[in-house]
Order: sequence, then structure tokens, then C-alpha cells
Amino acid sequence: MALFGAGGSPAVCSSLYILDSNLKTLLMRDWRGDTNPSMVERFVSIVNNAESESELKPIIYDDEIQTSFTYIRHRDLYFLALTRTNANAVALLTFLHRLVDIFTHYFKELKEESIRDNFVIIYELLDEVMDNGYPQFTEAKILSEFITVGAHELQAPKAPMAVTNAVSWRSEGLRYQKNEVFLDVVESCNCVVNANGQIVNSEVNGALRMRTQLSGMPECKLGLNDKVMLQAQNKSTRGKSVELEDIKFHQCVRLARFESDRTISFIPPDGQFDLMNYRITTPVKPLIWVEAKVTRPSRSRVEYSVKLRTQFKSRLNATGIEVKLPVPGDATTPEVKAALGSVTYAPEQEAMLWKIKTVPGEKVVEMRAKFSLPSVSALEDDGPRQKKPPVMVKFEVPYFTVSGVQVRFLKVIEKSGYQALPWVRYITKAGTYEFRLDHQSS
Amino acid sequence: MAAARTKRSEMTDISAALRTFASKGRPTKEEQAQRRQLFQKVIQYLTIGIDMSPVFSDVIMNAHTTDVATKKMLYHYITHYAQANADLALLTVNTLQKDCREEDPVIRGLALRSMASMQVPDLVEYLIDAIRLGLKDADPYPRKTAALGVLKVHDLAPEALAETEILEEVRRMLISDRDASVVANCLIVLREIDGERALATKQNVYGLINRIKDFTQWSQVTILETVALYKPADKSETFDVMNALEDRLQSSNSAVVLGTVKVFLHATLDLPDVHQQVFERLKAPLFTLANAGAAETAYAVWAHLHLLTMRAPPLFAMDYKSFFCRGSDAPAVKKLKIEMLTAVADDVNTYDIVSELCEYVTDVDAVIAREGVRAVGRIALDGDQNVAGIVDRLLQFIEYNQEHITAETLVQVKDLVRKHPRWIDQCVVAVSGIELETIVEPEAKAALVYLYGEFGQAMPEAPYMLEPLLDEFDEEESEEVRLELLASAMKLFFKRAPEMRDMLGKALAAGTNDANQDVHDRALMYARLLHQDPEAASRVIAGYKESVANFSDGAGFADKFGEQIFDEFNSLSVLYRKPAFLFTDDKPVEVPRTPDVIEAAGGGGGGSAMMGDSLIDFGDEPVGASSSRSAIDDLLGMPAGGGGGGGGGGGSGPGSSHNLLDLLDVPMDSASIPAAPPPPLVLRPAPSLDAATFQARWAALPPAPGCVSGPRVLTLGANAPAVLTAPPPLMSHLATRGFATIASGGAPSTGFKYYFYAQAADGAGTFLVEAVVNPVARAANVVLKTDAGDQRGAAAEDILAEAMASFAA
Repeated sequence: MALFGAGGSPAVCSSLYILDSNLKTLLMRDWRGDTNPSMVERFVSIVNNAESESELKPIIYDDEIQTSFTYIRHRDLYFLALTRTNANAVALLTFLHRLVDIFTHYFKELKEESIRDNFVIIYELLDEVMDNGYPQFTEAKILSEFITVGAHELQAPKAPMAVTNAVSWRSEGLRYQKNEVFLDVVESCNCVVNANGQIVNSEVNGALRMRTQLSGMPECKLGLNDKVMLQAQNKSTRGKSVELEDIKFHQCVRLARFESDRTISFIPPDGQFDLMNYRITTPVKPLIWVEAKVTRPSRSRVEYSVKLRTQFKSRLNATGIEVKLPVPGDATTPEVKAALGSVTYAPEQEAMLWKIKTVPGEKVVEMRAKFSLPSVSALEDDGPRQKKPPVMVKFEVPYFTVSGVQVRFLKVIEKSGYQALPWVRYITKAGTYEFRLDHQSS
Repeated sequence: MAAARTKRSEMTDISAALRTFASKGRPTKEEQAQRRQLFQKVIQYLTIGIDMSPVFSDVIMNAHTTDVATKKMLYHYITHYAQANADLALLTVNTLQKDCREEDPVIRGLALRSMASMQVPDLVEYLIDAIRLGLKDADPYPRKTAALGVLKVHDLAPEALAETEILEEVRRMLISDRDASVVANCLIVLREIDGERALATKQNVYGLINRIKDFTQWSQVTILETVALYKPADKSETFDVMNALEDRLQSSNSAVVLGTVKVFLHATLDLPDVHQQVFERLKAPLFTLANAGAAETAYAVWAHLHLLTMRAPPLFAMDYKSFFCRGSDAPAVKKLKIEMLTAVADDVNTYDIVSELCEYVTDVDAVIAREGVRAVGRIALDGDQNVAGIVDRLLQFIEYNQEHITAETLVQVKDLVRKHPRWIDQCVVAVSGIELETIVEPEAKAALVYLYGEFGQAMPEAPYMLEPLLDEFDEEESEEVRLELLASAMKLFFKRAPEMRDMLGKALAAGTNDANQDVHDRALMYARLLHQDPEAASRVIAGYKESVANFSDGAGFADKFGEQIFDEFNSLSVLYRKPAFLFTDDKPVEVPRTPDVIEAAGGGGGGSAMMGDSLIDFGDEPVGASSSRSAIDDLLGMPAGGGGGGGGGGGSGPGSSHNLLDLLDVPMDSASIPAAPPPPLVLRPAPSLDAATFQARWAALPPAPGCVSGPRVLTLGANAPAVLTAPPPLMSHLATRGFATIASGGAPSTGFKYYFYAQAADGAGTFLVEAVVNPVARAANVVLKTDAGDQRGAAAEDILAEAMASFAA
């Protein structure tokens, strides 16, 4: 195929393949005619020859056939795009993820069978989401209005209004018996702590996650507390405050309006979406602190002493706590004493899992564990100071946000005049929460 | 066999059923449903790879169906097999044409898209008609489909398309169509046909930017690509463009954010100060993208951040904590982050960075562990600030007693002592405990062998460490190690002849019988050298080693194409670190060199060796094929300063020949025997130093003795007031004395200011000078700094004083 243009070649996806867990092609769609299935065999051999999946990059170039493989995995499935031009890498990856979103929306659970059972609908969808190698329209909600599973009804489908509509994220004529809006303020904390207790990295990713069931074309207005609004205007607030950085809005929010009078007003998409995202990089005190001491009283014994401290107000609770502690894979005969919760040994993960349902704030919970080690590994263990993976922690703290973001009001106005019920929840949870272990302690 | 027969009979059944349905003029609802199921079966077989083309004619007999679901499947089937059955495909034209006039816009679009996708040359004529119709459709859906259809005609029959008015129509629609999705597809078509740069006109760009909110995110990506190629006329236009697009940085689609980043970066290329502010503005959205979202996308974003960081490390020095690795990061991301940490290390953050890097050295993933060691080694190598602590850290890795860590550490230590001789003692102590037989990797083994040879006088056990390897010279697989063994045995022989004599003899004998030509040549050269003139051999082999100023590394390649990769920001080029023409069919594009961000950004801070300008390796170390061959040439009678030029792999012509001269001039005992009296200071006739290194060293070094309590005042010759009316005369005078100028300025009324530098001819010392010269008073206020110690510092001051006094005398 001849390529034109003085400034490099246009960025396009030549073809798309969906592969099963054994890397056999389930389905393919060719758009540009410059790739063929034998190229995919080369991809398969690259994946098979890799020592571990983790060493593979999501974008692989095959020099011999001058082709780029861009792929993502979803459960057992591979979504693979072939390109022979200098494509927009991020756009391709984002597109593949959107595709997974769309299929998940259609088939609820996206797995091998859902591909096998839905060839026809997938072809139809692929025709709409990409034409001639260019992404076209990827809003699952709207697509599902004119491409329906089964296509049982004989009448011609409705014209895809929103595909070319000004409000492309919402179609007209929606009706709900009960009009409701759910707004979750979700903050996910990432935190890496060194063995000596120094916080290496701390960051919070926040999102206002919405789910709407609203009839018609509702106009929504969201009011947040002043502190947040002032920050959004880049005006510093007095005193010590946690700063929201890099606020991003969903495309439905009228940014011009926000710039002028600080109101967040929007016509929401139907269903679930992130209205606003933000980040906090100001160091904040970790909500949960874990101190793990690993000792070796003798060559064949290893002992763990773990303290978990909740560092938030006592009226709040942390729930669903899970502490994953690395344990040598050949350790045996665990003896565990935990003040709270249950501890299970998972040799296949080379870890033990300490699970606690609820811990209130300002509390310390302890756990001790002993393991036997086979004498062989005990001998080897003398010299090397191989690092163990970090202690990983999961938890949630409901009714709390690190940032202090609060919803003052959420108004829904629709011309038919119905009353919509807003439901607001706050939750803070662990994202990547790691406590590194001292590698010299053993 | 049985299965094949079943397939064949099933195919016959399908064919028969299709024909039956085709003959029904008005199928009942039930029959329609049955037919739909039959088509589903056909599509299913097609998908799992069974050739369904035998029923092509039966399928198209059903083309008149009114059931949309069946129609879609039928079109899918036709487009799949049309190219192979071009004649039969023509039979569907009537139906397709009819469908292009259907009442339902979705059907019109579908028929048009199918017709365009068939890629049958005989259909072009019909297709062009259909596209003409589609482009004028009242509904946007067929219009946008028709637009992309134009591209398909273009691929199929560009001449036929050129004869029509269609492209003109598309160009008109790009500006005037009411519907954004149509405009977006027109843009796609014209970008491919007219070229991306041709589309980036002021009119197009402004029109698209003004409406950008109407477009889908994917269309915005295409628009941003076009805008990025547009060169605003002046600063205010640049700001207009950026203001209009700033809110795109808040998009939830990563591709839109990166597309906007590209516009901002490219629009400000010619405005260094703004460019730097733009970097600051873009950091937050980029870090957010890199830290949130899917792992694959995050990797691609990190690759882009890596490009920006390498372009201007000082701008990211404050953000070093963002580059710290998380346990959950993919190895590829960790690797990028470690490289970025190495690049951004400066006086302030180095301690934190090195501490963090030490954490990675114990990573379970050996690749990452080695990256950690390498990074610490690189920082020790590049940095002139508080290197002591870093070298300690590096040497501690040896105590971990892990094969891969020790191996990587050795490689770094070797480079370190070659560049910074002051760490030799400490490094020698640290490596002397390593047992050579525990090191397996050739590169590490060669490094350790090198250290034995080079510093054997300080390692009592060195000959005995080498002994087993020299005894089994033939069994060593790596020629890199064999070459190094020969070199080290030679060097050690001149230091510890009694212990080494037998071993060297055996090794040279084995080497001259080596199957590898380089090893053979090397052994032969050594043997002949010893035979001809042992004295000369000693001076050549064990002579003083000049420290290496800058190592050449892989950065050279990235540097060469750096601008072009930056130009192709937001594409695969960035991930591959190659410009597009190296991995696609594109022609190489000339990219004008743009002002260096570092200059603008770096301010007083030291530049980075990553971007270093001169990467010439002055090393005379006999590793590598070509250098050994050129050495033999030299020794076999070629004039030392002449024909040998162009020899060394990393070294350039003048460097290596010049160097050889130095080598031969220096008495061998000048450095290898510590007790020997220091030779008088002789300055190199043509020193070389880049500005960044000068700056960094100037900041790090204390003044020499004579200048400690303030500048030393030197006197100029009597005619200085008359001769020195501008800076150059003094510069050229001092150049003859070995002091080169790195910067100068000033006026006769205010006096002139100079920065000079000089280097000792034996390589042991660099001298940096700041001089404020008042020509009228014939006075030069001089501050001299050196890394060569007080004695040499004083000697250099004397040379300078003499040089100043003889100016215009």
C-alpha cells in the first residue's frame, strides 16, 4: 500500500485479532489489507519464547516483517492490533481498552465463550468502532442502542442519533421509573515505605464516580466544599491543606462554565462514569502503618512479628484489611497468633495472608507467626541477601476522604420536572500500599 | 476423512438451503428467522477459518433480503470473499446501489461501507457514484462513511479518483460540514492523500481548534496531530493556540492528553523560555496518566516521560520521587524509571536517589537488580558532587555476594577507576576479595582481569588469581576475556616479573595459537614487542594511563535521532527510540535542529553526560579488535603520529594518535611506582574540556593554594594597555602556553573576564582559571582551581604567572 505525506505516515491500525489463552485466533478483522494472519504466528512465537509474560512490553516490533504488535490482555484473551506505520501508541492502547469496555458492556463477562458465541455482533461492533483503521465511535452505551445482541426484532434499528449528536455521550428519550443519582467519592492511596520507616512515595488518586439513572436530558449541578473550589481556581487556602492537583473532568462537564463561575454543571451520560479525577501528591500520613519484623532465631526457624497501626480518628473504621506478608516458599508448619482476624498460609503465593474485617482508628493490632524451614534452604540463606517482595496491604476506610472533598449539593433539573434522589458516599481505599522489608534482617 | 466428508456434505446443505431462501419472494417471519440463523452459521464457519467461498453465488442470491441483521452478515460475507470472487461480486452491485438509496441512513451507510471495503477494481465506477451520492446525503452517518470511502477508492484506483471532483468536495466539507464526525473523517482522508503537513494550514487549524469540543475524543486525537504540525507565526499566536487547547489536558482519554502535550511542546520549540514553562505545565497531567489507568497505557506514557526527561534532566530534578519504582510496576517501566533517576541526579537529590537505587539492587528480578547497580555506577561516574558516599555504596554491593550483582558491580568499578583515578585505592581493596572463579559472565570476568593487571602492584595475590585462568587459557570461551588476560599478564609482568614470567610465556604461546584472529594478533604483538625491545614494551604496555573524560555509550544513537524522535512525539518512535523511517516504509525526514532545552533549562547547573557533546573515548586500553590491530600497525614501523589515525573503535583519529605520542613520551615509572618523585608539570598543548564539565568542576573544586584567601594578582607585560583592547589577544597568547579559553567577555573600561583551562600532559590534573584582567593597570586577578593537588596547583599558577608576564612584554 502506498503511503503518502511529507510528515511521516498516518497512524492507523491495520488489523485486529482476538486470541484465546492458547494464542489461537478466535476472530480477526482486517482494515488496511497490509497485514495477514501469518504475521500473527510470529507474535505467537514471540510470546511463547518469552521467559515470563512480565518481561514482554505491550508493544513489540518485529523487525523482519516491519510490523508492530500492540496488545493488551483481558483475563485469558489477547486483544492484538497490527500496525505497519508509526502509529499513535497511546491511542492504540487506549482503543484496545475501550474495546474491552464495550465488549464487557455487551457480554457482561468478557471471556473466550462470549467471543465464540457472539461473532456476528462483534463484527458489527468492530465496523462501528473502527473504519479503515481509524477509531470512530466507542461509547458502549450509545452503541448498544443500535447494535443489539441477538437482533431479534425485525424492525430496522433506530438511527444512531448520538453517534452524530452534539451531546455524543447521551442519547435522547431515556425513561426511568425512579430517577436516581449515585455519587461515590473514591480516593485510592498509593504508598511505598522503606524498611527504615521512611515514606518513599505517597500519592492519592481521587475520583468522583457517578452512576445515573435519569430520564430525559437532565441538567446537573454539583457543589463541592469551598476549600476544593478555591484550589481548583489555583488560589491557595489558608493553613495546612491537602492540595488537589491535576483535576480532570469528564467531557460532559462544561469547562467554560467552570472557568467563569466555578460551578460544575453537566448533562450526565447514562450509567456509570468518572465525573472528575484528581491527584494528591502532598505527603499525607499513611492511614495504616505496618511494622513487620522478621527474625531467624535458628537456621531452621523464621519468626514474624507484625504490628498494624490505624492512624486515623477513632470514630472511623478500616474494613476489609488484608496484609500479605512474604514467606519463603518452602516454609512449613506455620504457628500463628493473631490478636484479631484470621491468618492463612498460601505457599503457592509464597506469602501468608492476614485478613481482618474491621479495625477502628487509633488502634494497634499484633500478629505473630513462626515457620520451620528445611535445613537445605537454611544453609543457602546465610550468604545471599536476596530481597523479599514488600508487604502489601489492602483496606478501605468508609465515610472518609484524605482530601477533605465534600459534596455540598447535587441538583438535577429536567424539563419534565421530576425529583431525582442523590446518593453520596465517601470511601478511601488502598491502591498500591507497600512496606518494604529489611533485606538484612534474616 | 470422515470429518472432511461431513464438511463437504454440510456445505452442500448450506448451499441448498440458501438457494431455497433466495427463491422465496416474500419470506414469512419464521423463514426470515431461519435464514438469519443460517447466515450466522456461515459467518461462524468463516470466522473459525473454514473456506466458505464455495457458497458465494448462493449467498448473493439472498442479497435482496430486507432483514437488517441478515443484511449485515451478508455484507460481511461479501466483503470477506469479494477480492477472490471479483466477477461474482459484481452481481451484488444492483442491491448495493439500491441500498445506498434506502430510507434508513444506517442501511445507506452500511451499503456504502461494504461496497468500499470490497476492494474490487471493476466496482470502482459504481463506488465513485455511490460516494458522490453519500457525500451529499442529508444524514451525517452516510456522509461520514462516504468520506472514509474516498480513501478506499484512493487506495484502489487513485487515477480514477483524481479525475473526479470528489477530493475537492471533501476539501470543501472539511471546512464547511455541519457535523463533526464528517469533518473528522474528511481530515483523515486528506491527511493521507494530501499529506499531514499540507493540511496544517492556518485556516484548517483555526477552524478545527474552534470546534474541537464538538468532536469525539478519537477525532480530537487526529485534530491535535494536525495542529502539532502547524507553526504559529509569533509568540502571541502560540499562546492563543495553547490557551484554546489547554482544557484538553484534562481529558479522560490518554491519547488526547498526549496529543495536546505534543502541540504544546512543538509550538514552543522556538521560544526557549516558554518551552521550559510548558514542561512545568505538562508534568502534572503526564504523571497522572503514568500513575493511573491501565498498565499498558502507563508504560507508553512513561516512555514519553522518559523522552522528555532525557531531553532536559534538570527540569525533572525536583520530581525524582515520581520516578521511584513500585513493586507493582512492570519490569519495562522499572527500567525506564531507573534510567530517568540516573539522568536527573544532581547535587541536591543524589543522596536520596542513590539510597533508593540501592533498594532495587536486592530486587528478586535480576534484570532490575543489575539496572540498579548500573545506575549507581553511572551516577558515581558522572557526578562530581559527593561521589565518596556513592562509591562506598557501589562497593558494598560486592558484599551481597550475589553473582549477578557482583558481576555488574565489577563492570561499573572498572569504568569508575578509568575515569576517576582517585578511587583506585578504595576500589582495589574492595575487589581484591572477589574470587575470580566465582565470576562467570565474560564482561565481568574481563573487568576483574583488567583490574588485576592494572593495579596488580597493590594486590598481592593478583598473579595467583590469574594463574589458573592463564594456565587454562585455551579453555576460556570468551575472546573478550582472552584478550584481557593477555593484556593483564603483560602489565603485571612489568610490575612483578619474577612471579609472572612463566605464566606470561605460557599465555603468549597459547595466544599465538589462538583460532581467533584478534587474540592471535594481540599475543603476537606482545611477543614481538618483548623480543624487540623490552624497555619500549614496558613503556607502551605499563605506561601511565590517562583517565577517560567521557565514555561513549549507546546514547550516541538516541542523540543522533533525538530531535527526530521528539518531532514524532506521541507515536511508536518514542517507544522504540528510533525515528519512523527505521521501522516503516517512510522516507527519512530532515528535521531542523532546534535550540537546546538544556541550555535554557540548566542555568548554572551542570549539564548531563547523557546529552554530552563529545563522546570520544581517549582510552588506550587494548580491548577490541580494531584498536589492537592499529596498535600492531603502529609498532610494526609506522610513524607514531601519522598513519595510525582513525584506528580505535570509539576513539577518533586525532585522539588516538595524539595519545600514543603522549604514551611514548612519558617515562613508564611516572605513575606505576608511587614512590617516584613527581615529574615537573608540563601542560598539554591542546587541552579539551566541554563547558558543562568546566562548570560542574568549577563549582566543586576549592581554589589552589595561592588563591585561597582571595584572587592572586598577576602582572601583565608592559604593552598590555595598548595591545589588550579586546579579549582575543590574551586568549591566543595563553593558548600557546597550554591555557585554552572556555569563555570571555567585558570591555576595556570595565576590564575583561576570562575562564581558562589547562590539562597536565600526563593526564594527572585539570586546571581551571578565572581571570579578571585590567589592561590599564596591567593586573590580572586570578583564581585557579585544580583536582591535581596543591603541588601541581602551585606549579600551574607559576606557569600562568609566567605566561601573563610575557604577554605584550
